[in-house]
Amino acid sequence: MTDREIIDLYRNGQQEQAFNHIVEAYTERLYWHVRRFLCSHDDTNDLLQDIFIKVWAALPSFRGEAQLYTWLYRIATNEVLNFLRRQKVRAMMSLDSVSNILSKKIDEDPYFNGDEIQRVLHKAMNKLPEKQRIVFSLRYFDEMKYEDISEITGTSTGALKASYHHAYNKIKKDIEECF
Amino acid sequence: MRNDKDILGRPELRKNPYTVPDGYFNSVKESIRITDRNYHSRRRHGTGLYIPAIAASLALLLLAGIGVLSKQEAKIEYDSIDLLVFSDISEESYYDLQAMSEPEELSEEEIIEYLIYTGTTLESIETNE
Repeated sequence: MTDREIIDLYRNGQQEQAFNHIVEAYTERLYWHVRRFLCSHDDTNDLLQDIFIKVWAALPSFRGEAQLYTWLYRIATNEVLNFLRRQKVRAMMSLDSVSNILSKKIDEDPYFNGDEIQRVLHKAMNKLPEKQRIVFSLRYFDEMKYEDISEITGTSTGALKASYHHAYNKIKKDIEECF
Repeated sequence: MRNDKDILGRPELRKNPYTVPDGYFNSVKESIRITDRNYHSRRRHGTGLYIPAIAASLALLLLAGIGVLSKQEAKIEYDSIDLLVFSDISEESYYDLQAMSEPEELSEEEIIEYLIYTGTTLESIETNE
């Protein structure tokens, strides 16, 4: 079922069916998107449930000006950023940094099956500023178009290209220093 | 940005290094559906059925309260401390309140006692009539 058909279903009064189709189509994609930021399966699982509650609550206000999938990614990304900001406050109280906390999570994660270069790559991502991290993740791993990332972040494609370039070079440098 | 030596250009680095427990996506999808169905029904019932139910409960409580209060009012008997306290906040004096709280009907003994105390004889009562 296409995004358009899901929205039509919702507008025809079949809200629960439409929502079920969204869950079916997007749970996995949004999970991986969130997981790349939070690094931990448990945190991702918790946040994913919150994201879908937000999606359900916000669906009546979806006007169809954006694509359904960029709208869903936008909600998920906002939830991720809120989660990371809360982590930042906790990290300040424990005199640690969020990137250190997230790096520890990668090291302790029993569900991380990558090699050493991938480990360094994902740890390097945690050091990036928010916007660079978002654009790098969506472009490098999901191969998303800049126009779509622009809809998600509300940033111009030009600014996104510059952010991606900076992020790419920082991560490359981090990996090259290790190997 | 990319050349032959560009380490980030390796396709294997774009692969997902994370995994999930077996059967996770099936269970999480079901869990999300259940959570949101409950959330949905709480919201729907919260605005639809709960309001009349709460209004009916409040009306019942109000009626019961009025009933209890009017019953208590009929039975109310003030003791002297209540009257002293109440007289401070009332326009009536302590004695007025005490008089209000006394039963209106007098017993036969009280009438005889009153007649003896005032020296009223049977003859004088008959003469007045």
